Amino acid sequence: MSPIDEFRQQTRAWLEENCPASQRRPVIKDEQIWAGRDRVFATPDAKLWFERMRDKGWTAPTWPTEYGGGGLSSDEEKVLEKEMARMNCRPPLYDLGLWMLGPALLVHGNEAQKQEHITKIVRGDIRWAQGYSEPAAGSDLASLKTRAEDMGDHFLVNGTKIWTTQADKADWIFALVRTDSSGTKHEGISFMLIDMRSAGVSTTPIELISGESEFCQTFFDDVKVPKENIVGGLNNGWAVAKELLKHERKLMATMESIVQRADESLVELATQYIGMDESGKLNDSSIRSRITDQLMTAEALEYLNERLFFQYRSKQVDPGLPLTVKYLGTNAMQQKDELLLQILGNHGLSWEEQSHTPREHNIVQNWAYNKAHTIAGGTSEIQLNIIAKRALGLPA
Amino acid sequence: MVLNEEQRLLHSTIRDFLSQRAPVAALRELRDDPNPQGFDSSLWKELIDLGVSSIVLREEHGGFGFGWMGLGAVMEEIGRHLTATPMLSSIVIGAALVEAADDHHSSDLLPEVVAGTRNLAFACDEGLRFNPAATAASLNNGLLQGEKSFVLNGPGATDFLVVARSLADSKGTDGLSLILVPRDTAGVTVNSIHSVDGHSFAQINFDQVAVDQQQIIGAPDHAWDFVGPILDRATLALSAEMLGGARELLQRTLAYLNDREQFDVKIGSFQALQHRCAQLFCQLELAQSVVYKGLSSIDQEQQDVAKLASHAKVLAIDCYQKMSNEAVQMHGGMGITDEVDIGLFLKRSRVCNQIMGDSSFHRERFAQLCGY
Repeated sequence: MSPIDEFRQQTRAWLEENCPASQRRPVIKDEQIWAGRDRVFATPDAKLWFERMRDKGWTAPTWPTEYGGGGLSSDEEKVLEKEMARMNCRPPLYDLGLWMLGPALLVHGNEAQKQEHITKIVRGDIRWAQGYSEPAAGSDLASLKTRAEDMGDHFLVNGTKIWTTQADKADWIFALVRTDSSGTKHEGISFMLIDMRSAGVSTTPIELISGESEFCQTFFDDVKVPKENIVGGLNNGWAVAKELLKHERKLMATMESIVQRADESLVELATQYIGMDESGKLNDSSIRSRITDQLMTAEALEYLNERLFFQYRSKQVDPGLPLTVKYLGTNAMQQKDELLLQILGNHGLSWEEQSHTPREHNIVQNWAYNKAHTIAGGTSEIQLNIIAKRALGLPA
Repeated sequence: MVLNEEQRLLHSTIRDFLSQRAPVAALRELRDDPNPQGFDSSLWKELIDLGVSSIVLREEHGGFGFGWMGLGAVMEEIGRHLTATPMLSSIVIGAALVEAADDHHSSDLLPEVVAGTRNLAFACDEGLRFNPAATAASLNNGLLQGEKSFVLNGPGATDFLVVARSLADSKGTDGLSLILVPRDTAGVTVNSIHSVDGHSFAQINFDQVAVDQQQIIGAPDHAWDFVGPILDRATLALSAEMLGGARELLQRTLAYLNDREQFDVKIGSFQALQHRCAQLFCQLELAQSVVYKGLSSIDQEQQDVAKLASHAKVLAIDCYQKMSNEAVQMHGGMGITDEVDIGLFLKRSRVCNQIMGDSSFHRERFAQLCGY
């Protein structure tokens, strides 16, 4: 047996033994295991599952074992992902630190920062928020104005960040701050880690069209930050930010399968709400045709990601290919949301949870919430700009 | 889903050869000064010498183990250069069918097809579009009767592989046989037709053509058991050709946008055009991923090739059609002249749409295979 087959067999056996049955069902929002000092578990099984995966380092399977990661190769990680998907295992940990900060810190962080923060991310002890956008700096992120002034033995931070995901529940925030205003706008930005318990930090939730308040505005009012909390060197924040954005975009392209309702099968839902004729065809030919479009796009995206995986592995990456993923993935997600809504008919208008099934309510909420995905992490239009210039070589 | 070193070498060999020996100008020449067989026989001989005619065959039939991913690379280049050859009909469909049938034709016929001394055309379509389940051509008491349309390579073929209903009361793709009919058989009338893309095909009438058992390829009455899977493979190969054409169009369009100036700037600096090109690129890479998935699934002997073939053909059709329309539009007035090559790709894309099933056919088939 080849080593990878052996690993597959061991992994399968370990998951069978260690993943509780209740953690092998599609996850609903209230049962997601979010990191944090005040981490709560919806059920004892969730706690057990999280602890077992954490102790194996499989909350962050490819990160180095010296920081608590799993130390797996990319091939092994793929096997683990496939086995977990096959058994419907829930993700053992949710955290922006895990998805975004960690990978960037592994590249740009110094040893002390890795020791301090990576280990805690792997263990789910700290919940991270992201402080990038500002009210006047959206797509033009580099025009940000939140200022960190060098006070000798510390920085003094003043300004505000917006769209900070769940900042009201976060323990720490990674933020882009201006440390120098003399050069071009991309220069003079630093990447800073800030403890949300520091004096002068406050948050206000923002009510969204989905009825939720996933995002906050975060204010910094004379916040003292230790000098060692700069990552990647003073005024070098843009390089760190770009590294991190790559992970964010990759994440958003696959958000559906990671965070949300990968279980929401169009065909199953359409069979239930629309019905089939005696020949086994859906009763609505227009919806049937749109389902074909949607399935073809979604499955093609899987193949594109698989192709990308093989390209990385054989070190023959088409430089333009990774740039397509966020644009395509987020569009496909919204296309699916619209179709789900249409399939539900007037049950796709649920606003009050109690008047509809939780599933119907969830579909409507996601439909509204997912409008964020073509905006956050670089709008679709920004993605197209990047593709046009970097992949296609069109002039500025 | 990535080419290995040998396949990459094959790819660049074919690319270099075609770009020198048969650029798009060669198709123009063929269109303006047509020959009876519909392709340049010496070019085809040279391609055979490069090994393309045995690429997907088993080793005992001369295959080199490049696999279907390797074939995909060759087809992509044929698509980029709009090369008119019997490759699809005689090799990717014809030779593969003979090999899959696995009977005495593998030794009698196959070597000659691979060598190019015999040339096969697959006669399946009837009427306006591909729909094998509705085959009306019949084989009764040793007599073949029927009318076949849109036979690719029909004008140049030495032999036809004819799909006919041999089981009288059968329905759908049950009860079909595949019959080898030499061109000069009594009762066969071949009508050559030039198509919009500068290639040609044939309309063929089979009137009381005498057929003996030796001419039946594979199991009588059960031809679709092996013809179906071979057509799935060929559909993936055709999709690779189509995306080769689409990719060439994107490159030519980008080159034009980087060259043409209006309002004192390169028109490629306009965001309205940049975003459309970026979207086309995304669409192309998405379709390409399905084609690679399908081709590598054949090489790894996986089960879901039928669904992947329909999936790939639909995305290839949508992509090539959109790309060619946009390429004409972005070339402005030049796009509608015969002087530039863009129109040749535009026309080729529409011909490819019809080969082995159009978008409606494959969307319907995909839905049925997915069970809804």
